[in-house]
Amino acid sequence: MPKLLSPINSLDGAVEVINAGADELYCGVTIPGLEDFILYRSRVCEIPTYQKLGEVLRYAHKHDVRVLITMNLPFVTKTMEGYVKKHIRSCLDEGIDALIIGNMGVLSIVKEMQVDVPLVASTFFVSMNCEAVKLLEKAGFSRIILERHLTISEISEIVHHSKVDVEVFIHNGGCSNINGSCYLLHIIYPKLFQALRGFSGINPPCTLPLDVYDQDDEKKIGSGLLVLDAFTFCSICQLPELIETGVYGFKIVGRCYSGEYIASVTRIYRQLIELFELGSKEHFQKRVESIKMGRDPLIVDSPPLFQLTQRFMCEQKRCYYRPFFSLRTVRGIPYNANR
Amino acid sequence: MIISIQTENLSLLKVALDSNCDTVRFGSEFCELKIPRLKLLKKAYKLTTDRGKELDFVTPRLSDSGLQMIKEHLDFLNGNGEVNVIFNDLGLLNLLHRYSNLKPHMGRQLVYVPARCPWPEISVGDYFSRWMSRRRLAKIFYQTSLNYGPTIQFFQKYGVKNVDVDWIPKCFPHYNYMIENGLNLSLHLYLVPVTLTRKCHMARLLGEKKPEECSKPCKTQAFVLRHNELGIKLFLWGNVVLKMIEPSKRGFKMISRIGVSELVTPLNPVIKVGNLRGNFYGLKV
Repeated sequence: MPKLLSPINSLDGAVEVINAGADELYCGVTIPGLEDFILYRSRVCEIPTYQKLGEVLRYAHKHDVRVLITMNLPFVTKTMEGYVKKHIRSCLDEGIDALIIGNMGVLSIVKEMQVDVPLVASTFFVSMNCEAVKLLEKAGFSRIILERHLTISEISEIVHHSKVDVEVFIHNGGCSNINGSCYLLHIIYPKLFQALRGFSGINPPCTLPLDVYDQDDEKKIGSGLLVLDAFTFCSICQLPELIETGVYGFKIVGRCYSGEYIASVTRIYRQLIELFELGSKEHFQKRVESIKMGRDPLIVDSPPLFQLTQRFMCEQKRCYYRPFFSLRTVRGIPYNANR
Repeated sequence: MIISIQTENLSLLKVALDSNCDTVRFGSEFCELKIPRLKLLKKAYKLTTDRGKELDFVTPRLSDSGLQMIKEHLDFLNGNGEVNVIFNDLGLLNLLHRYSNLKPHMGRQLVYVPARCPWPEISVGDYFSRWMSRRRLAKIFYQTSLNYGPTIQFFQKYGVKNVDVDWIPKCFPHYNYMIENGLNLSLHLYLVPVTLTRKCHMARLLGEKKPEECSKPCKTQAFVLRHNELGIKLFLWGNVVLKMIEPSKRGFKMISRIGVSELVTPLNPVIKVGNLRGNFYGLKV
C-alpha cells in the first residue's frame, strides 16, 4: 500500500498529523540569509529554526515516522550557494531522513557535500515520462515526485518502467499550471494578494478574474472570467485506481495549512487506504459517498474551513486526475467570476 | 549573430523562408498535441533545405506517448545529418544522446527565470523594506538557473552547448556568466512564457472536449488577458500564457556587447508578420 506523506510547519502540526496516520512528514525550513526571497510561500509555511526542526525530528523518530526536508528552491545561483550549503549542513546535523530537491544546482551541492540521506526529485523537475525518471535516477535520486498534470494511466506506465520509487500528489492545491514552468505566484505583491482574497484565505493567482479580448480586433469576449482556473483539489474518488498504479507514496499538499486541517485530510486518506486494503469495494464506495455528502464523521468532526473547502471542491468536481479539458469552474457554469 | 524565425505552421514557415533569416525553427514549443506529423516535418525539412537554410526542430514538454511519437521524427532527422533539437523535457534529453547527429539545444522551459513573473518590477520595490536585503534579492531575482557553474556542467555532460533565453533586459547582465561558462545563447524576442499547462486554458475557454479530439484553435487564434487594477496584459495562446516585452535599440546594443549567438523571432498568432515589419529594428525579416 502506498505511504501517506503529510506536510507540516510546526511541532504541533507534526503531533496532529502523526496521530492522524501519516507515514512520513515533509516540511520546509527557513533558510537564514534567504528569508525574504519568497517565491511561492510565505515564511509561516516553514519551520522557522533548526532548533524547532530538531524538536519535530525527535518527536517523529520516536513514533517511527520519517521526516523529509524540502529545499524550496527551483534554482540556485552563485550568490545563494553559501546560504544553501550552510542550510543543508544544519538540517543534516539535526538528523533529517531525506532531502527533496528541485534543481540540478542544489543536487550538485548535496553531492559535493557527500550527503548520506536519500534524495527525492521534486515536482520542479516536471517528470512526465519514463525517460525523465531514468535521467533523474542516473543523477542520483532514489525517489521521484511526478508532475501533477498526468493521467492515472500515464502514472501507471511510469511506475511500471521505473526502478525508483514514485510519488504522486493527491490532495489540496493541485496547480492549474505545470509547477516548474509557472511564474504567476512568485513574489509577494500586495495588490495581487488583495485581488486574490477568497473565502478560504488567499486563492492562487490562476484564479484571478481576467478580462478576455479577441486578439485580432481587441473585441471583449468576457469580463472577470476565471480563464486560467483549472485548479484541482481532491483524489478521494480515484483512490482505488491510484493505489493500483503501484506508486510508493501519496503526497498531501499544504505546508501553509494548520496542523488540524492537514490532520483531517490525513485521517480521511488513512482510513480509506485501510478500507481498500481490507478488500471490501462496497464498504469503500459507501464510505467515499458519505464523505462526498459531508455526512461522514470524518467530515462532521473536521474543522469548519475543511468542511467548507471540501464541499466546494466536491461540488465543482475539482478532482486531481479528471480528463484535462473537463473542468468547469463554478457549479458547471464556465468562467463565472461570481464566487 | 544568427537570425532565426520560429513557427509551428507550414504556411508561416514559407513566409519565414522568404525572409532574410538564417535558420528556421519548426515544431511546437509548448504543446505536445501540436507536434507536427512526420509527413509535415519531412515537408518542412525539404522546403527549408531546398532554400539553403537550416532547420532546427522544436519540441515541448512530453508525456510518454509524446516521446514515443517524437522518436520517429528523431530517426528521420538523425538520418539527414546534423540537426539542432530544441528540447524542453528532461526525458527527451536522456533520449537525445542516443542519436549521433542530433545536437541537444536546451529550451526555455528548462531554464528557470524568476523574472518571467508578470509582476516583478513593481513588487520588488514595493514590498521589501530593507535596502540591503532588497538589493541582494533583486540580484537573485534577475538571475537564472544557469547562473551556477555546476548546473551548467550537468547539462554540458549531456552535450548541451546551446541554450534558449528570453528578452528580459534586466537579466542581460547575468547572461554573460552563461557565455563565459561555454554556452551559446539564443535569445527569444517579444514573447516571454509566464505559465504553461496541460489542462489547456484556451481549449476550455472554447469548449474543446478532449485533448485527443482538440481542433487546435490556437493554430490561428490567441486571446488578450487583462486585469486593469493590476495593470497587466498577457496573451493566452493555447496552453501557454505569455507576456510581451518589446525589444529596444538599447537592448540590442546590450546583447551585441554580451555576445548572444542567435536571435529568435516567433511567428505565430500572437506575433504576426504585420507586427514585425514595423518594429524589427533594422533586422530585416
